Amino acid sequence: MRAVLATARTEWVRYFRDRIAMFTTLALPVVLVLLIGLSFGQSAERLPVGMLQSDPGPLGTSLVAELEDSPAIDVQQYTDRNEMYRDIRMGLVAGGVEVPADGEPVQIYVQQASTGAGVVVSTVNSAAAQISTRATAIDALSEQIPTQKARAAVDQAMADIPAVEVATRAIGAVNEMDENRFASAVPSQLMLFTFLNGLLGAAALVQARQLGVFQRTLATPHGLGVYLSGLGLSRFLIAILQAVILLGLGVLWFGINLGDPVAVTALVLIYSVIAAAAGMLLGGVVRTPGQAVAVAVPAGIVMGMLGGCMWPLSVVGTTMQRIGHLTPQAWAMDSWNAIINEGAGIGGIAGYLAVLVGFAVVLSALAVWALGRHARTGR
Amino acid sequence: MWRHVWLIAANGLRRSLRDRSILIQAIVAPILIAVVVGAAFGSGFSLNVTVGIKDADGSDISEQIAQGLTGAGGDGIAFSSVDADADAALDSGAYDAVIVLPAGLSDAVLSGEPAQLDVVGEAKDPLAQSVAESVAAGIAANLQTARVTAVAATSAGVDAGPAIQRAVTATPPLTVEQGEVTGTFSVMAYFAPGVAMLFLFFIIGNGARSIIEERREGTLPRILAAPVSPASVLLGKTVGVLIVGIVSMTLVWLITWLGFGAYWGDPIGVFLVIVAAVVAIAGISLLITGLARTENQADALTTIIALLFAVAGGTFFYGASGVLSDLRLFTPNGQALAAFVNLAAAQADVVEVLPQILLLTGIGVGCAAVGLVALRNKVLT
Repeated sequence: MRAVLATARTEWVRYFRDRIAMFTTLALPVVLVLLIGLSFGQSAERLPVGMLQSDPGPLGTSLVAELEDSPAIDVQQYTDRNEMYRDIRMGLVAGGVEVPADGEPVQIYVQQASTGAGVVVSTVNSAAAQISTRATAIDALSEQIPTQKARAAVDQAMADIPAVEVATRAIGAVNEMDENRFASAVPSQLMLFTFLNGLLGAAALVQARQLGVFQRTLATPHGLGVYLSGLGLSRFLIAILQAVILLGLGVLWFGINLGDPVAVTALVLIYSVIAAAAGMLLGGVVRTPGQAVAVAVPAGIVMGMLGGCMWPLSVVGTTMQRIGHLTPQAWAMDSWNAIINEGAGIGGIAGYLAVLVGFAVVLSALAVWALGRHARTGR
Repeated sequence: MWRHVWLIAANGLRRSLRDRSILIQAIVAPILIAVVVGAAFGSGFSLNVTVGIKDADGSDISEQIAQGLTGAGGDGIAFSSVDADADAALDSGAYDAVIVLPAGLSDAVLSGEPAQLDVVGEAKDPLAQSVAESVAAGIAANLQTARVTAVAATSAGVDAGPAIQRAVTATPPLTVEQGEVTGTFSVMAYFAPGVAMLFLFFIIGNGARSIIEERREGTLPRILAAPVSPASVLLGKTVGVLIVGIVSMTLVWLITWLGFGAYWGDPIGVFLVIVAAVVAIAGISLLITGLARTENQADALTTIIALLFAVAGGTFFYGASGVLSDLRLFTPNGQALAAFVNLAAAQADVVEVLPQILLLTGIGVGCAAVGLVALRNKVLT
């Protein structure tokens, strides 16, 4: 056991002597969480819609004001038609409204594939109805009496009668992850970076392989098993360190309600084993440190994307969800959703944890096999 | 001199081609990541809101409103009537929000008493709730118009019936027409260049560092012992990394465009932005290599700066708002991405992205000048 700890300590020191490792382990995840939290607001409450004003008259100006107050759409002003078209094509706004001079029709622009047009049309019509009460009533009366008299009667009536109100009420509760942007950013970046760093740890392993460290351990009285245990332990502890930093930051600074501590601890422990084992496996199969980095970064990013660390899997189709669940990230994110949003305890995520334990066992076995084969054959 | 430059550049290119990591980083990774994003979001923006109409009033007026709405709707929004109560309807999952016309609504409206419509939504779907709220506000405005007309008619001593009829059937003063924005944009055309630029930092950084490596391994003094000027060596290395960068990014462009149908925009503009982006990245890499004391330091700095630029430049975030949208313009990646997006999504031509091309080239040349002077001193000592 002393030998395992001594190995782990050496490997830990060696890992953090690498400034890139220090940066990607400690600084980058924090920077990313901050950027994501500050750059993306709460989940969409209003549909972003572009607006282009081409010399609107009094009616058009009232319509613009009404649309800006609309609960359904978030009006974004454009002065350049091409820029509005660009953002419609990119889906950054659901559509565009062009308010022309009074008398000309209001134009709504959407992309063929997009399906937000109905909402925009309803909202514009609704806003038009709201600004036209007085004009319509005066118009209706002036058929029978002089306009002047109609105007006075309508103004009097409008002062006397209360407006027809709309009362809104919502049922159910908002998910913690939807309400607090950091509550989704912290766990997803943690899962992304724990795994990515685990993989990046492969570079140092390949160096050790090139130096013949593995073969030499065969000559020591402790053997390869002790060395691999110590190595794995150091990688595991690095993953834990990252989790402590990010989760601590999330709870203390961003006020995330993480949920059941037992479930969180179990998830972090198992996932850390997965990350450590994946890195050791990669370190056992690639040939040069450069190759390890070249594989680790894209693999970590792609698995993070597939597994729901870059965006929630609920927004992609079922095929992509199924493919995503080939990665441990997806099962870990399912667990976080259950823990944070639904208040699940260890029992509630037992199914997900079982799958993750499966990943941990298989990856560890493969890593031991790959590194063991290297130690014996030198390949 | 030019023969020497070319020989050294060609040697660098040959070494790159042999290195499988470069192939993975330069071609496979950007395409793979872009395709994954494309598969996840290929269908583009979509929105479907179903608003239920619950008529608890049961009067002629409420029936008219409900019927009028269920016939309306359109692309992305549907209205249908609800029989059960609003909460049960939402629980069933068939509706995203419900507009309730409460019992006694028409009496209240006709008598000029306070009247209200109810909207019930789900906390987890605020967008649908807002949409229903906006539609309800339109209905409320129409009811208000009718009753204002009725009261005004009565006080002015005219026949209310025909006036109300006129008011409720009048077309609003603003008519709405629907147009279409042609041309499509694939998210792949955003992520492929973004990720390609991230990995270019690694690849070009490697190439730039090979100057220090050659000094350490002793090949550089031998080259300089031949009648080759230090300038030729540095220029050769620079030309080598530029070619690797331009070729790899051009391949990513052609493969995502011709193989996966992601149109990046006007080809001349795209190619020039690719060249400008590679020049900028090469310049920054040369500067880092020139200022770093050791190879390891250069390696660490390149990786850290590459990742920071990628993150701040928006490589992993599509259409962010807030801090990030301002921050990205301070990075070369963000500037290049803005140019790529303008070419692909705004259908800009090369003239419109000229500012970014010039800016990126300027950054590249400026950084390279400082970096090369520093490197020249390293080569000579």
